[in-house]
Amino acid sequence: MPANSFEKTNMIENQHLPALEGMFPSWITTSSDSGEPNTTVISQIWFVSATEVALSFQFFNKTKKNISQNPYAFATIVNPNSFDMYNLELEYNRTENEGDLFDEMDMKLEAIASMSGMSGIFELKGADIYSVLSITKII
Amino acid sequence: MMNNGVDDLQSQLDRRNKEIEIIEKVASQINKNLDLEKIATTMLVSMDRYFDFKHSMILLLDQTESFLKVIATHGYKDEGIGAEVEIGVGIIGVVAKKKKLMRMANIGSQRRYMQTIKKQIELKDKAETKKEIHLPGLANAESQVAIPMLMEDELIGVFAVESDKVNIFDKSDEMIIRILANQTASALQNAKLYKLEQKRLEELDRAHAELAELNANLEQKVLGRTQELVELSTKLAKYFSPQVYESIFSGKLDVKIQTQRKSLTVFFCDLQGFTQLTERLEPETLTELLTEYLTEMSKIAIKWGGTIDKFIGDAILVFFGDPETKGKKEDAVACVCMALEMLDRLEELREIWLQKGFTKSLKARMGIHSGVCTVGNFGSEDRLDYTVIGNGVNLAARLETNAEPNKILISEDTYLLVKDDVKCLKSKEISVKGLSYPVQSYEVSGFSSNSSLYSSKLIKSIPGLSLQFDPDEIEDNERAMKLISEVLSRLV
Repeated sequence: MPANSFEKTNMIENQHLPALEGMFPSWITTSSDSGEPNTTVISQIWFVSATEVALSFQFFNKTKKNISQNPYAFATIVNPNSFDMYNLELEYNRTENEGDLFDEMDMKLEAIASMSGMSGIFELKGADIYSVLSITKII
Repeated sequence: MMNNGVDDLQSQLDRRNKEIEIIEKVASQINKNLDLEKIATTMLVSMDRYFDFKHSMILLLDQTESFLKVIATHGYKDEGIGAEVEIGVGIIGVVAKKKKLMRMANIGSQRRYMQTIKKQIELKDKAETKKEIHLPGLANAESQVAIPMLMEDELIGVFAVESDKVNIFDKSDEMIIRILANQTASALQNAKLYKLEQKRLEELDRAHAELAELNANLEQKVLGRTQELVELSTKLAKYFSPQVYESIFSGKLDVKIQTQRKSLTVFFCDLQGFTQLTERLEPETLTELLTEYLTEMSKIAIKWGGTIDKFIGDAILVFFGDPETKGKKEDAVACVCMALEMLDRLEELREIWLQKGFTKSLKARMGIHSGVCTVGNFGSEDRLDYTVIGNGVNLAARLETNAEPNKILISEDTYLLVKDDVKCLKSKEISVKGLSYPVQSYEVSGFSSNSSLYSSKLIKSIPGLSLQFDPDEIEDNERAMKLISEVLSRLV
C-alpha cells in the first residue's frame, strides 16, 4: 500500500476503536456562523455506535458556541498502538443527560476529578452525540 | 490471507478455551474455602499466575457502608492491608458508588490533563480546590480495571487490577476479571455468612449451657428455699391461733391494719391462786405446770372452734365468731361447751398435780359475753396483733373476775343465746365502766336435759378409782346399785 494513501469509510470499524479510548488526545475543529474556525484539544472522543461518537460537555466554550450555530465539526483521532491517524467528519445530533453513555463518561470524570481534589468542580453536564459522516485515514 | 484469518480465529479460540479452563480451576479452589483471607489471596495469586496481572487488590465494604477496606493485595511492596478508600473517591471509590465496572487506560495523562484544568480554574475563577488524595495502589498507575463485587445487587466490595504500563488491559481481560470477581464475590459472601453462622452457633451453645446451669441451680435453689419457708412457717404457726394462721396462709386474711365490728362471743379464764404459786415453785416446775395447763386448754378451745387470742401468764382469752362463724347462737353454745369441758379437764389435771406434789389446788374462773366487738389486725405497720377490743371484751373480763371458783359466769346476752341448751342460775348484777346500766349475769350449772349436748354419760377417774357411767347402757339397775354400794361400804 502506498505511504500517503487515503481510506475513507462512513462507519466505525474495529481498527478505529483503539483511537476512541482517550489514549491520545484528539482535536476538534468547529466554525461559527460567519465561518470563523476554532480548534481545541480534547482528551477523548467516545465510541457510541458504528455511526455515532460522543464528546463530553463540561463547560460552555467556543466549541459549544460554534456548534450551536453550525452543527458540523471536524475531528482527528490517533490509534495509540499503530499511530494511525483518522479524520472524522461529524454532525451534531443531540445531548444526553442520562443513560449508559452518560454514566460511563461521568464515572471516568468523577474518578479522575476526585483523585485530583476536583470533585464537584469538574462535572459532566452532558454527552454531546455526533453522527459520523465519514472517517478518513491519514498517514 | 484467508488462512491468516482462520489462524487468528483459531488462536483466539484456543486462548479462550485456556482462559475458561483456568477460570474453572481458580473458581473451584476458592469455592472450597471458607476462610475470607485465604479466598482473597488465592484469587490474587491465581490472577498473576495465569493471567499475568501483577498488581491487584480486593477491598470489602465496611459495615458502616461509607468506605471500603483493603483485605488482600498482591504485588505491592507495602501490603497495605487495612487501607481505606472512601466511597466515591478515585477509580475504586467511584466503581463502588456506581456499582459499575470501569477500565482506565491512561490514568497518568488524564490526571495531568486534570491538573492543567485545575490550575486554570484556580487562576481564572479563584475557585477553591481540594488537595490531591492519596489512594492505595501504585503511585504511577496507568492502566486499571476495577470491578464491583455484587451479591444480589448489594455491594460487598471491589476487585481492582492495575499496571504501570499504559493500555495494558483489553476487553477480554475485562471479561476474565469480571468472571473471577463474581466468583470471589460469592465465595467471600459464603465465607462471611459461614463465619457469622459459626459465631451464632457458638453464642447459642454458650447460651444453652448457661441456661442449663441456671436451671439446675434454680431447681436446687427453689427446693432449698421452699424447705426454708416450710420450716419458718411451721415455727411461726405456733404463735398464732390455728384459725388466724390458716386465714393468713390461705390469703383470706390480709396482713395489714384492718378491723371489723362483728358479733362475737368472748371467753376469759384464769387460775385463782396461780400468782402465789409462782413465788413458791421452782421455775422448771412452774413452766411444766403452766405448759400442761395451757396445752390442755388450747386443745379444747381448738376442738370447739374458738380463736385463741392470747395467753397472759395463766389467763386465756378466746373468742368465737371470727375469722369463721357458725352463727351467733351456735358460737355462744360452742363457747359454753368449751368452758364446761375445760372445767372437767381441769379437775383431772388437779388430781395429776396432786400426785406430783402440788398441794395448792388451782381453781379456774370463767367469764363469757356475746356482743359486737371490734376484731382484726391492730398495731403499727411493722407489728400486728390479731385481737379483739371493745366494751364487750371488758364485760367478759369483768364477768370472769366476778365468777365463783370453778364456775362460769355469763352475761344476759349470752344467756339469751344459750338458754335452750344450757341450764343457768340467775346471779348478781355487775356494773361495768363504759356501760350506763348494770349487767345481769348468770351462772352455768350444766346442760339442760333436753339439749342434744346433754350427755348422761359420766367418765371420771382418780388414782385407784375409775368410773364409767352411761345410764342408757345399763340393763340391770339393781345390779349397778349393788356394785356402787359394795365400793362405798369398803371406803367408809
